[in-house]
Amino acid sequence: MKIANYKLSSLLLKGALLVAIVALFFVAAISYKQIQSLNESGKSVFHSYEVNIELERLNSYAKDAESGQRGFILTKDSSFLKSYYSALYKAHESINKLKKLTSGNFQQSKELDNIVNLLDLRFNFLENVLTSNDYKITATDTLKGLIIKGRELMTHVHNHVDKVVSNEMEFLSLHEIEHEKDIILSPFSILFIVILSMVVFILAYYKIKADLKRLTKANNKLLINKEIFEQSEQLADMGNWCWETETNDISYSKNLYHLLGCEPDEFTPTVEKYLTFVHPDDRENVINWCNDISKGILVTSITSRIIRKDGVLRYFKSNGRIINDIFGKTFAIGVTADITEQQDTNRIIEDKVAQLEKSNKELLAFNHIASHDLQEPLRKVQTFISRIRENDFETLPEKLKDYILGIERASVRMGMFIEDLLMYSRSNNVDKVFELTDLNVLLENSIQQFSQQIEEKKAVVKLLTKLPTLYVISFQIQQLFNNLLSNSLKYSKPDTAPVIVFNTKILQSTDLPGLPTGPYSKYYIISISDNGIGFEQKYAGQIFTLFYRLHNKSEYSGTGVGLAICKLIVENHKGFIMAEGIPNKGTTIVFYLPA
Amino acid sequence: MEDDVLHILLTDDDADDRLFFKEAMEEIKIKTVVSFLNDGVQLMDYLNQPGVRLPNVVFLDLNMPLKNGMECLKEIRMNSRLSDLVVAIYSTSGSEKDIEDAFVHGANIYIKKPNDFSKLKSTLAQVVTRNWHYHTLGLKKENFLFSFNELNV
Repeated sequence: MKIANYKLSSLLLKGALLVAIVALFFVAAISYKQIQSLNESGKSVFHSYEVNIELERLNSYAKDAESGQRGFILTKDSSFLKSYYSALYKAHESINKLKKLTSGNFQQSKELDNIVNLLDLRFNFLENVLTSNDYKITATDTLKGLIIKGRELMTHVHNHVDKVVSNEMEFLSLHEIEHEKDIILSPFSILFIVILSMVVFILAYYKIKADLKRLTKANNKLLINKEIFEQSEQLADMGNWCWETETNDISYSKNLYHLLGCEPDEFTPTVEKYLTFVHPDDRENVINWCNDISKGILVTSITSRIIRKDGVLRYFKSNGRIINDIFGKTFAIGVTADITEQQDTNRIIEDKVAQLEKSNKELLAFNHIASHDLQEPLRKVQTFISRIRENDFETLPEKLKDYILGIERASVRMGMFIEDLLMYSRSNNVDKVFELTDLNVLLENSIQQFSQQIEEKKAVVKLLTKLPTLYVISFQIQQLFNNLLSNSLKYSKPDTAPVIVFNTKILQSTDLPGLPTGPYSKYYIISISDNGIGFEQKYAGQIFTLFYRLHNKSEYSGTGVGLAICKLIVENHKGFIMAEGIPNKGTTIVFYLPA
Repeated sequence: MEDDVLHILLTDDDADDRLFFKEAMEEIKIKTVVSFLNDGVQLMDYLNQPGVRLPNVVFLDLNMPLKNGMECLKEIRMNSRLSDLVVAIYSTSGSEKDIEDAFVHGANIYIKKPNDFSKLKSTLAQVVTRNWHYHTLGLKKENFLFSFNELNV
């Protein structure tokens, strides 16, 4: 799983959480404000009702006082006076209460003042009536007039009270409008926001769940990979280490402990502890290497000797590099391999290569010896013999003549050996220059070269199909044709004219059973068949060996080098050569050249 | 009469070869004066003497101590006074490399020492009597190595 994916996911979750929290805060603030406003509107309703009730009370107290007064005037019973005063007292109390209630409202206080004034007038008027009653004002007309006036005053009071009540109702409705205004968001919107927040939370939950699932999967995969890694390390004799350069905390993989000959977590890894395993002569190198790594210098791998816990000397090769992890921490991470076996193998290979180089040089020196130093004395022997043969040969005793002739034959044979050997080693150590060559021309050259022998033996050379034109080392293929033609002429039956047949076929490499064909898909198969003395098939493998001969040198001259050279030449061309023979019937040599 | 005599110089460290050469030259019916030197240092000292009479043909062995034939050949061809000198390489070696090198460095002919005295005689007779001016004009790699087939030409 990619790191960027996780970062995005975490950012997404943070955003969702923030949106949900902001929405909830908003809802909480709105709710608080609305409850507050509801509370206030309730209070104002209650206030209005309190004012109204108090006004009704005042009204009834005024009426009580009036009826008390009337009773007293009519009956002269002082008990009516008592109820009159009590009503008067209560009316004053009520006025005080109302004054308190309307203290914040200028218009209402003014109306209340009017009411109080009217009431005061009314009560003063009542007092006057009562006083006149005490002083026996009995004139019925006057009394009647007073009562009528009192009723007019009371009607005024009632009107004012009604006005105050209606005012109060008006205030209440005004309050209601303001309250409506306060509720900016309807309860429906609040519900919507809450649901939205819940949806955000649910989505976030699912996202977290999905991330967790992915993380679990990744963890599982990590677990499997760790196991694979551990097994690989074990198999490859490798270990790894992780070095937090700032805190100097180091951790080793299990196998690194094993490579040091210890159990996992046997010790707390430190640079100093590791150095105790390093061979004393290599410690300085390793210290410098570690320093370079911790400074962030790019280093090449280091090979150092390690003395394992069990005292065995091993060769360790280490690689290391500074990296920064996702959290920005700096680590040096490295891999260490036990390359002791590789080192040993390398040493063996190096020894072998050195041996090969030495023997190659010796071979070249041998070639030089063969071409110069060995030929020189032989040439002199032959020249001295030719001097004897020219000058005093006939005067020599017969026995001595035979000896001289013996020396001559042997020296000629030795010359042949040297020549063939030189040719063989030249076939092997030649600069391999491949040129596009028409093999028919090469064969024609060979036939030309052996024309004398062909004529002498009345031989017939047939070409069934034309030979191909190929990229070859031409002089070597020339040599190949020469050797093969020479063999067919040499090993012919004494009483039969040789018939030598060349044939060419082309074959897919898949049709060549039992041959290691290499990268080539097609091969030309060129065969040379003769009707000579042949050979037994059991020798087919050996006849290409250097110096291997099937015949006594007195029957057929030869050094046993010719076919060995043929084999070398065909192999130089990435081909194969084989021989088939039937005694007294003939020999077929087949060679394959990649097309 | 001096001018009718061919002056031949052989430089070879091998006493037997010098002997064969001397005997072969004696048996050829051509008037020659043959001188012998043992190595390359002697040859160069001889050729570099002021006013020395230069030989008609120098036979030069390749494999010699002190200074080998190839070094001598190079020195001769770099010296303007000696650049027209006829140099015949006379060596046991028949290796392609030696023949190639000798040709490149300007030898006139390459003779592989024969292993038969009569062949030696005919070879030397051929070489010393050759019209070198004419031959050098037509010198090619193909006819650089002396072969007995030329006898028939």
